[in-house]
Amino acid sequence: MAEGLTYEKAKAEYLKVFYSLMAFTVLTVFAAMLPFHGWVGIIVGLLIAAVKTALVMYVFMHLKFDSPYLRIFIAVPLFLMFVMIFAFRVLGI
Amino acid sequence: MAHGALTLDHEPVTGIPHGKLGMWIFLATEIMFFSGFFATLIVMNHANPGLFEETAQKLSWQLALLNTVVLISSSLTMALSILNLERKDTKKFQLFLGLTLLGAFIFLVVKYIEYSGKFALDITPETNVFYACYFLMTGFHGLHVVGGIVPMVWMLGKSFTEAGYTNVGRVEVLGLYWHFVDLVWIFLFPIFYLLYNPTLIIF
Repeated sequence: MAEGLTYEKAKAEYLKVFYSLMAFTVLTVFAAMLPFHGWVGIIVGLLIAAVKTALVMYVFMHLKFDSPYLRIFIAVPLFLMFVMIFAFRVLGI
Repeated sequence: MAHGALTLDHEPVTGIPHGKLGMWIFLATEIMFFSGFFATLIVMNHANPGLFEETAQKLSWQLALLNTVVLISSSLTMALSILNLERKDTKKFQLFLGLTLLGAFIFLVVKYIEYSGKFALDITPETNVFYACYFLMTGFHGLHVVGGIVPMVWMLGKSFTEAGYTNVGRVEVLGLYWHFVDLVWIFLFPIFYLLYNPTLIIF
């Protein structure tokens, strides 16, 4: 295997991520049913989405096993995006 | 390879196959592409107080939840198809790539049902700025799904020919793209269907 894992191990890891993604999907719907919309709701919703993103990128997209250069590559635009969103919130646009 | 041709099994500088590196650079630009849309959404929400809350409740979060489950499942089957091509299990590769393709089509069918429901009510991108953002972002995401279907059909079709399909590297690169399409939806789902919808609050 390209990731240096056996087939069985890689499959087990993918399934674990799949179940976690499903659980987080249920969690994000459940969180939207709680009475904190606005600021808190958005932060909670985006945090759950960020955790799901990390799971997909690390395991499904092999960042966990691949060259660290790729992690830097993708960290730059993600960082810029967070700066932009944060700046917009702080400026109150 | 012909003699004299310059061939390298590995890339001496980066150590990353060119296809993979190219796809990650493309995905980096894709993040910036969608960032522009998210920026638009934030600015438009501030410029139109109350509009997003009022309009978001008219979207069907149930259909969007179904599509979330479909896309996450298709991400899993895509990862499994690469794993099976690596160990040269053609039958399972075809099965899982076929399931991924099926997921992509189910997603588009659900999207079609959702869109046609809106058009039946005379709701278009011109209705208001929330719908403009909604159609823009989910529309571009839908186009990305179509863009993933094309190489999937090609690879699956080729795997049934005599020569078969053995290029693991290419399927892996397609996999990266497909997981990214899934990621964009992971953000679009809460942002459009959940976070601004006050009628969801039941506790």
